[in-house]
Amino acid sequence: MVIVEKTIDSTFEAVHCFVMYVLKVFDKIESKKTDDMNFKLNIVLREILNNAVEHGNKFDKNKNVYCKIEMFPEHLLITVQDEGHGFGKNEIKTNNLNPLKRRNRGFDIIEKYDFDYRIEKDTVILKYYFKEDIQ
Amino acid sequence: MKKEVKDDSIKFIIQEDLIAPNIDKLKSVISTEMNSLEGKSQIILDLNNISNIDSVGVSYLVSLYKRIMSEGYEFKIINASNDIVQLFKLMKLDDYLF
Repeated sequence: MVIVEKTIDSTFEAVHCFVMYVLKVFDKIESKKTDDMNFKLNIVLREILNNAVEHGNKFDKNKNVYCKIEMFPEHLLITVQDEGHGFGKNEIKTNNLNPLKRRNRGFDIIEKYDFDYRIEKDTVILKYYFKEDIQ
Repeated sequence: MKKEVKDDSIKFIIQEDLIAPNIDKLKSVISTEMNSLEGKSQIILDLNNISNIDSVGVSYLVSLYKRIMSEGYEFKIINASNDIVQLFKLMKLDDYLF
């Protein structure tokens, strides 16, 4: 089931408005919804969309970011596509052991909140498997 | 942002979410405040009103922590929500920021 499908401008403000909208929509879905999931979705969406706006589209007013969120019985699927040149997973460096010096905290956060992700050029696909104890 | 000044400490009560669209403004406001800390030994950040945060906000808190520590002040975050505390724990930043 598609929960949200929308194209947004390449600004941090547009990302914020979109995330608040998604959370409202998500709030109406009773199954698998918990406060814990709400925060995860909030922060992970911000990370992936901010990344698309900043590094993908470089805040270009003529470029947009497409986002689709789908809910399946076992998982949530988020597809984000920008109009940039794309990037590879090897360009994401999150391996500094000192937490004060880590770079790319966005993808670090996505991983820490148990979202799997794969990158296909200008598209990032995130998958989150619902935990059994919150169903 | 509001602030409460005591004899040896200053508390910044953050009103805007710690997210990308807000960070430049917050950075500028706090940077100005940092120039008038004479006689203070502790800087407290009150996050009671904050429900949204992202990595830009986290990175700003880390850079603020580093600056405050390098200038010889104590730094502490108070009243963060459970979600934000959990986030800092996941990022292994809780030992520094709380």
